[in-house]
Amino acid sequence: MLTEFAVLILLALGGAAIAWQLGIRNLWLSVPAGLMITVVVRDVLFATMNMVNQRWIGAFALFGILALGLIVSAWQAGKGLYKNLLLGTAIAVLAVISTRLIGFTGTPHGDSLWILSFAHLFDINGNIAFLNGHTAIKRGFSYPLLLSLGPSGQYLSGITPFIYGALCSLIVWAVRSLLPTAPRKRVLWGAVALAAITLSTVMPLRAIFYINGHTLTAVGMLAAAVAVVVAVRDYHLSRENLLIICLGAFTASTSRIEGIVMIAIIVLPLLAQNWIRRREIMWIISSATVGLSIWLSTYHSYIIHATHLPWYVFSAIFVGAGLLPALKIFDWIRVRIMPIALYGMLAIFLAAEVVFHTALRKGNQAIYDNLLGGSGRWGWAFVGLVVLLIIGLRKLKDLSAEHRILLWTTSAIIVGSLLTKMLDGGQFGHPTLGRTGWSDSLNRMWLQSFAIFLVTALVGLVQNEKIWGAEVKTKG
Amino acid sequence: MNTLKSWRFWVATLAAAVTAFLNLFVLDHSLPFIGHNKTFGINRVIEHSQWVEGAPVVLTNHFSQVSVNHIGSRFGKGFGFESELIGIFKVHSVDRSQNPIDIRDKISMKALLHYRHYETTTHCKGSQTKYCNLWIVWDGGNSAPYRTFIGTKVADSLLLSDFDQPHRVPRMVGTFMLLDSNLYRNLIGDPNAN
Repeated sequence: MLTEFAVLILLALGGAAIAWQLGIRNLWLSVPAGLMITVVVRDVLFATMNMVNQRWIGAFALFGILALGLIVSAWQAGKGLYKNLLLGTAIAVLAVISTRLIGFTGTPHGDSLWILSFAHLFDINGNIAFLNGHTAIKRGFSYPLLLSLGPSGQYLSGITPFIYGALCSLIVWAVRSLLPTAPRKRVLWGAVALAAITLSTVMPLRAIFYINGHTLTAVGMLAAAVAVVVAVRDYHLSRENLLIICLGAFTASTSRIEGIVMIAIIVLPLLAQNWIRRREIMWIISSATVGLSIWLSTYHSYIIHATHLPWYVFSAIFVGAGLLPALKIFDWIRVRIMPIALYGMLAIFLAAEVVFHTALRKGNQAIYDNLLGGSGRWGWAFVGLVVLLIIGLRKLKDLSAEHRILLWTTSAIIVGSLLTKMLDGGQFGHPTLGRTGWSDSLNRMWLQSFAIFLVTALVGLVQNEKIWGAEVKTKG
Repeated sequence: MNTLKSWRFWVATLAAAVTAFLNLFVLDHSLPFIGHNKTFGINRVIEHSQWVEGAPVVLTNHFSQVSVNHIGSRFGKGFGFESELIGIFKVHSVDRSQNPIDIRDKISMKALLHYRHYETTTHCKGSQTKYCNLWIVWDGGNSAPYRTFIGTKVADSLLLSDFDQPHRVPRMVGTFMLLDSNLYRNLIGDPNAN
């Protein structure tokens, strides 16, 4: 247990300290940013050491870098850093207490056991060539790597609730960034309403201890989404927000295979701006493509094998192709990409529903059963959430920039999730929209975007003056 | 600004309150997580979970070196024995070239139950479901750390995992067994005599 306390506190403190060094100094952003930095360092070190079959060095090098970051930052920052470190320590200690002392653990699930098996392989410095299969790709990269940092033979049980804590911290940052001048009473009322829905629903609570990469993906997605919205709203991409978007893109793209699709959707509103620099476009896209390349190359993925290319050629082509949108000749489509992407995905989805209507009938029923019928353990959360989203709506011209982009992101993520699920079976000729039950992968994918849905609903509720009696005042 | 006169405010408040009430007191009450866990060793977590893929892990948990044969194909007459887990948990060798040996007429279930140390489900090709039962059977009195297990088909019985699902009528499926080769010789005879 002491090892777990030590490791998790080091991850929390070292991550927050390096974030501080990189200019991410906001209290509520420090822990999730530190977590995402840890993910990047862990993945890169492990993949590098894997090339020389010395994977075990990766964990020690990570601890060394985090410790060094902590010492240097503590030296330079003085008192400026202590609140961030306190928050990180508090979340880490609570996380370890919840798993090791109280004994909370996630709902048993086969995917969790696969992920633990991979963590075991990383822990024992096993041969990564064993992971040359479809199952391996589906189970993610970053999350099992974090789990494998536990005591020898054991998994780092506290990392899962720690990630959840980081997500909660991120939501606070999101609200403060998107609604900086909103009356506190409105924000509080909206937050209580949405918290009542969330905390009474099984699935969002299940994510606290459930061993899977969904919550880590959610951290990357929400961080990137909020930074994108802030940048578009302010017509300015600050260095801090660029870094957050890059970290979010890397984290989401390496924690679940659908993460790169989700992050591509999330960053589109920013990439579509005509004021964004080409260098910034390249950084953002490369953060996702480099991350995924590292993952696929390290796992000896069947995807790379299918191309018959060496991993470095595949990676070079993949990352290079990702840079194309930064070229000037694609500007005409880049600035119009938001409606094209949304309507395009919608058209593909509807066409697939028509063409494969027999094959998808069962999946459509499963979506209904899972999201509305109770089988997915979402209770009435989506009914309540949709009502709040609708009440927060106004005429398009009255919407704030941040609310408009969040609504677009929410819509695109929903259609994107459905398409991704369809593609999962579709690549083998059997398009599907899942099956009834909480463990269906599409049903679990909503965990990744749920925080974005909540933030979207909150922004709408707080900014819609009609909710607050302004209409009455205008008429009077 | 008069919030109290805004119907939107009250609809939103009511929607949140009704949703929370229904979620808490009317709809599903399944627990979001489980308490009192004391197992953090990955091998043990998998063994305790009765995982459908868990057989290679259970075997290597109990023996230093494990070889397995007569597995067949899970899409044919054999059963699942996941190749990624064989590598990760270091099963020494696996031979899938032959189907499980049918021992239904050679020995009674009762004689084998005494030696059964683990029972779970596995993947297979069935008419009603893609799952079959799997027993792992060895002689606990034998302390040899190196073991060879032979895949056998032992019976048709009710699917174990169906008993965990309320309202599910248990389905009849094949039951396979990974039988310690020493025990096989003692109870049945030479496995190569088929």
